[in-house]
Amino acid sequence: MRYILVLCLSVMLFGASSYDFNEYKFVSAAAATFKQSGNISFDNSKTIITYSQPKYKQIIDDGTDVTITGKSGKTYKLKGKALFYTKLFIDVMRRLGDIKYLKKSRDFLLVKKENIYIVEFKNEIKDQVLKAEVEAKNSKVKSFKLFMKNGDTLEIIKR
Amino acid sequence: MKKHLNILIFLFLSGLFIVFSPQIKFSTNFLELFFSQKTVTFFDVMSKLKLSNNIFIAKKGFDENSLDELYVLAKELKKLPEISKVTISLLPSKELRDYYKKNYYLLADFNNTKLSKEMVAQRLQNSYEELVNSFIYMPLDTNDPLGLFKIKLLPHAKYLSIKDYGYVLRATTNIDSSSTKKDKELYDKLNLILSSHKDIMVYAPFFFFVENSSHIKHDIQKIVTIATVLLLFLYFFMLKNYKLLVHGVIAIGSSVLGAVLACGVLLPSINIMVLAFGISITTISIDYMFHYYFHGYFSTKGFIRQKSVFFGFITTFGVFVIFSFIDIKLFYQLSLFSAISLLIAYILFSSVFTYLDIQKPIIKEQNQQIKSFNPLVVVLVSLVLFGYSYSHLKFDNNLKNLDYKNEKLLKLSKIFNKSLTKNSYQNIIISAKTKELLLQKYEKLQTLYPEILGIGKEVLSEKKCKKRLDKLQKYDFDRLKKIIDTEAQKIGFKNAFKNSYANIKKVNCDMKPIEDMGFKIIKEKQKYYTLVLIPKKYKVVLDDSMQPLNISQILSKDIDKATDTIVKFMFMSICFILVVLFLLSRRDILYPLAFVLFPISIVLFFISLFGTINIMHLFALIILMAISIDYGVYMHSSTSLVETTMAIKYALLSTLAGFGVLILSDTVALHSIGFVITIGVVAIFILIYGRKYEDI
Repeated sequence: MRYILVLCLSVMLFGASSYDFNEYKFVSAAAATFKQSGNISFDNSKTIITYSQPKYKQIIDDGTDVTITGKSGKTYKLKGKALFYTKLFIDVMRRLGDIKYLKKSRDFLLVKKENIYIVEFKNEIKDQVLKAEVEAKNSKVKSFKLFMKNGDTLEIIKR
Repeated sequence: MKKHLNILIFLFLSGLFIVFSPQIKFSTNFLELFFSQKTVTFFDVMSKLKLSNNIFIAKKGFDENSLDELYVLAKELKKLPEISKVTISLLPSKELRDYYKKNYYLLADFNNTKLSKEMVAQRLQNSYEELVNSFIYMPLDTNDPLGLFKIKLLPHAKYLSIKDYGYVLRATTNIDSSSTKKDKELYDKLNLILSSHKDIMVYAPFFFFVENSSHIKHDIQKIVTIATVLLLFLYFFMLKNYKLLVHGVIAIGSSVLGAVLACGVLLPSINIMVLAFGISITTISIDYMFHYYFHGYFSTKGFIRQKSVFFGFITTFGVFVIFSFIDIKLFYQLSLFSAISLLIAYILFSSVFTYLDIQKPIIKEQNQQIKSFNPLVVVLVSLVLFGYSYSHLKFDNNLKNLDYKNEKLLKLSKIFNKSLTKNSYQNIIISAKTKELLLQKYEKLQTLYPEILGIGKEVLSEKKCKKRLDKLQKYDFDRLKKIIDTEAQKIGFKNAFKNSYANIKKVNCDMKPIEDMGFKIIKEKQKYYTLVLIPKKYKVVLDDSMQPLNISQILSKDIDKATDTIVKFMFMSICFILVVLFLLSRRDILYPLAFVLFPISIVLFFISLFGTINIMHLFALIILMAISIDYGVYMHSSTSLVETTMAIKYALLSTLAGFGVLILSDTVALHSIGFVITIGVVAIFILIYGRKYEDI
């Protein structure tokens, strides 16, 4: 009976994924690094990023809109530039965080050096992101780092 | 020799046709038949703007697998020579991004307010705090750290999609939308590719042409088969005179060939549709043949001088001559064609057929006398019916209602249009004599309707560009850069703004539209055109250089104008008919007039009972009028009514078999013609057979 329950839960959760992470954002213009911690979960239609440290914030991308909810429960919709960049980076985070996506993605060129995959972007992301490095072990992504054209970096380390 | 004259004339005309056919131009452009030159030009503009050249394919689901499948499809579609572009992502292409980079300072709205040192410091401080405290990554805009330039170039979604269904792929075809053959080829190729994909929805405006044409083709095949069977039954089993049948067909063939040759000389081109309807109208001349045949006139030597056939012919001929002055291509070409072919047919049946040795048939009902109906009563009834119809008839000027109703495609078009096209905008085509004036026109509209979309968003007129350039050149960026460098360092920025406002002095006005902009400028007949989208919330004041892209409205306007002209000419024709009938019958005019008025009034009455009248009803009413005049004249002038009745019966059955079967069509345009002819023929039968036969 227990096995059947596990099997059912696996089937229900198939297609959905989630992981905790630490984020290190280096801003070259300020020559400073900022750390945040949170969790990202996604299924076929939705991505939710919940930051717990240093402040609580939840970002939800439902495929069309991106909304942000603060600790007070106040929600607002992103617009313009903020919407564009947030969607872009959520999309990149989803893809780079999963080796399966990473390998089959039509948007990247992959070069493997030991445990590191060097990712070169093929499309419009190329205008913003110089390259990415993905560290994987046993076919599982451990961390990835985005190198921006302006010298900024964004590193996600799975916990 | 004279016995073969009918065949020889046919062979001679066929020979002439073979020799001169390369010089005769046949047109397949159906639009020019119904619509004004302005509308035809408008369609050419639309075609060049490629507003209906898109194919949309939606894949169910918003996951990676759905996107992957669309990319696989895109790869397959790109292999087709008819597909010029396939897009899934809404993000600007590399060419467009490079264009934006090059022209950024000119395209963006520039706030040239002079900023003090304190203001610059404050703005940089805000940027720094945003950068440090932001939990979502947003790169610092080092090119314009003070936000002097504002422009919205990014789409708010990465992919085109249908809400609650899935992502959408958009392919663009390079085929001419008026080429039915190429449309069909592409349609078949697409269906073959899509047959291996599941949960897909596909729609393209040209699917209507392909699917509806195919349906109409099958419809016509069905009708032609029924008509052929009926005509064969009529001639082989009822009439049983094969010689008459063969020579009748040859004479009609000669009349058609003669009309084609004459029209080839008189007209710059003959439309295929005119040819098709012209041939049908020529078959009306079979009346003359039947009248001569049943009265035994073919035994006469030389030209048959038969008053009733002559008056029947001259009235029909006159009506077509009057209609040839209508300024609508379909009507004047068709009237000219019909007048010529009927003239040739009349001459052939009246002269050549007398050498064929065709004997008068034996008619069983010879010894009967027919009591006439009261023409005054019939005319009065007709006038009452006209009155009823006049007060109840409504004209349907929507051409779409004449087409086959393709429910499946209509539903798909609704789904895609609702989700993909900018539903909250009104589409307007603007025009000007030069590109520069066109862009200036856009800019003028932009001041009135700031949310306007169009090519002018990405390409500026020379005038506006120079004005912006001047504004840029007058601004002191050197001073500003110095302040930024000093203040940024104080705040904590590390050499971030070394490239700020760089190259701003090198900017020049050299903006050339590129394909990926989504909007384009085209040239048609010495004028330039482009499409603009203006939010529906505005009540746009239109001028001569602005034409809303509402095809139904444009066509309806033309149809209304055409209808007014047709009705005017129909009244003129009726006046002409009255004059001819008066000359023929004087005080007895009501009798032949009843044959013209009664069928038309009955038809109009039935149309008013069952629906609205359309342009094809009007067209068929003209044919009905041409038929009924002959019968009115024959019945009035005839001294041997049984033979006349017999001749009319066969002619009516031929018309019913040829035109009446169109009532079985699913296509409203064809059904309308069939409806008018069937009801009209029944009305004439009522007039002929609704009387008492008495043995003498």
